[in-house]
Amino acid sequence: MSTETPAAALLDPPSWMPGVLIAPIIGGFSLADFLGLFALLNFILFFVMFEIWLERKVAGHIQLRRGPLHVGPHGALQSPADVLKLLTKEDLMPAIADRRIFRIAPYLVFVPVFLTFLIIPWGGLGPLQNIVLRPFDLALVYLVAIPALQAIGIVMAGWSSGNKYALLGSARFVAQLISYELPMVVSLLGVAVMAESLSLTRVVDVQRETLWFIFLQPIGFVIFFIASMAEMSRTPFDIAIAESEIVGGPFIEYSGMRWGIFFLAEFAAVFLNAALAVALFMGGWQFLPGLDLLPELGVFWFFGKTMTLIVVIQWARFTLPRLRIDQLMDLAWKALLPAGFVNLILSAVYQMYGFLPFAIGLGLTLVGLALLLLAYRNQRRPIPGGIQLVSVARPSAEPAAMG
Amino acid sequence: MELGAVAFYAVAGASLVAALGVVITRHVVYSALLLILSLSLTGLVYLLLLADFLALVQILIYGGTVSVLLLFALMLTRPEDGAVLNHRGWPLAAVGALLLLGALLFGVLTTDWTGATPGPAAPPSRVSVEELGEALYSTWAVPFEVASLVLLVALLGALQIARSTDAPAGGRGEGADR
Repeated sequence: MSTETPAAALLDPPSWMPGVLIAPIIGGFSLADFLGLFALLNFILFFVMFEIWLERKVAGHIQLRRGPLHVGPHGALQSPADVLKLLTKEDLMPAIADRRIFRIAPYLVFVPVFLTFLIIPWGGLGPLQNIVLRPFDLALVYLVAIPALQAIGIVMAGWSSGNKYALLGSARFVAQLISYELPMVVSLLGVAVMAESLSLTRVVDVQRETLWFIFLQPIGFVIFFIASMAEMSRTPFDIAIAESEIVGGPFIEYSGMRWGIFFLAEFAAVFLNAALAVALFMGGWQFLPGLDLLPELGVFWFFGKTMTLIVVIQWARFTLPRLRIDQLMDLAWKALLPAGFVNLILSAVYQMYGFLPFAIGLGLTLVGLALLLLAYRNQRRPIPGGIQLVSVARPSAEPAAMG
Repeated sequence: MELGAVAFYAVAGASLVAALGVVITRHVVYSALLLILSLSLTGLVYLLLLADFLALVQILIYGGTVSVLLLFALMLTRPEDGAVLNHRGWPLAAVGALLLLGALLFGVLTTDWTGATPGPAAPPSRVSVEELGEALYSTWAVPFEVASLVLLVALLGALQIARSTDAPAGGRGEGADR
C-alpha cells in the first residue's frame, strides 16, 4: 500500500474480493467495505448474544447449576429476550449528570473495540483465502493504540454520572488499563521480533512456516492472555466494576440499552482478545501446529480455537477470586513486566543466535519462574496500610509460615 | 478539489475548531475532552499524510494515555460551578503564547514546502516502519537514547514523589516499598 491517494491510506480494497465489489463508490470506500462492516457489526451483535448465553451456561455448570433453561431449548433464547428487555427499558439519567458526556460515553467505549475487529485475520472460507477486513501492516501497533481510546469513554462515563462510585470505578478502570497496557505491549514486542513484522497476517504465516508462538513464546502468551483479561476488566481483574463493593463502577447510573452498549463492548472484547491471542500465538487459521489441513475451512479452525480460549476466559471468571488493587498492580509491574522483558530478550536470542541457545534460555527461564512462583506462594504478604482483614490467608500460609 | 485534499482540510479544520474550543469553553473538563479530540484529529491528519505509524503513536499516547491522566487530575479536583478559571498570571501567559505563535509562524513561512505539498505532481511517499526503525537506530541513535534517558529520569522522579508523600500515610512504614 504505497501508491494510493492520501484519503485511501487505510482503505485499500482487500485482495481476496471479487472484482465488482471492490470498485470504489464513495471516496475510496467500495461496496465490499460497506458489506464487510455491516456483516461485522451484525456478527458482533449476534455473537455477543450467543456468548452471554454460553457464559451463563458455563457459570452454571461450574457452580453445579444448569444455567438458563426456560426460554427456548436449554435457555438458548434467553439472550434475545434480555436484549428485548434492555431495548424497551427506560433510559434513565441522574439529574446532576452531565447530559452530553453521559450520552456519548457508551459509544466511545464500543467503537474502539469494533475498530479493532477490522484487523482480525479470519482465515480462508472456500474460494476466499485469508479473509481480513484490513490487512494493515501495522496491525500490532493498531491493536494497542485503538483499544487505548476506550479509557476516555470509561472516564467520561464515570465522571459524567455525578456519582462517587462511578468516579472511583473509572479511576480503578483506567489505572488498570494503563498498567496492563505495558506488559501487553512488551509481549507483542516478542511476537514482532520473532515474526520480523508488525502485520497480523505475516505473524500467522510465520507461525505456519515454523511453529505456533505459544510453544516458542509461552511466557509471551501467558502475559498477553492475562493482560488482555485485565484490559477487559473481567472477574479476576474486575475491581473497577466490582458489583459487590462499588456496585457496577463507571456503569452504575446507566440503564437500558446505554448500559447494554457497555456490556456489548465487554463481551465483544472477550471475543476480540481471544481471536487476537489465536492469531498471535496459536497459529491463526492453521489446523494443528505444522499441519495445514483443509485451509479452505480456515475460518472454522480459527473459530474453534477462539471458542476454546473464550471458554478458558469464562472459566477463569468463575474460578478465581477478585484481585485486590495492590495484588493487581504487583502482578502487572513486578511479575508480568519483568517476565515480558525476559521474553523479549529470549526472542532476540532466537533471532540472533538460533534455536538451540534460545531453547536452553527458555528452559532455564521457565524453571526460574516456577521456583519464583513457589517462593511467592509460601510468603505471607502484609496488607498495605495496616488494615487487617478477617481471613485472607491461603491454606498454605498458616502462622507457622510467617517466620 | 481532490478528495484527499477535502478530507485533509475537513479534519485539520475540525482539529483547529476543537483546539479553539479548548481555550474558549468555561468548563474545564470539556476543555480537556476537546483537547483529546483535537490531538486525536491531529493523528488523523498524520494518517491522511500517509504517516500511519506516527498517527497510531499519536492516538496511543495523546489520545488514549497521557490525556486520560490529565482528564483524571481535572475530574478528581472538580471545581465549583461557575468558578472563574482565570489565573492572575494571564498577561504573562498571553505574551508567551504570542511569542510561540510568532516563532511557529516564522517557521512555517520561512520553510520551503515545495515537494512536500500533497497533490498529483508529487504524491507523498509512505515511510515504512522499517525505514523508521533503521533511521532511529542508526542515524538518530544518540538522540533516541537521550530521549529514553530523559524518560527514565522522569520515571525515577515520579517514583520519588510518589514515595515521599506515601510514606507518612502508609502506616508501619510499608508505604516505602511501593
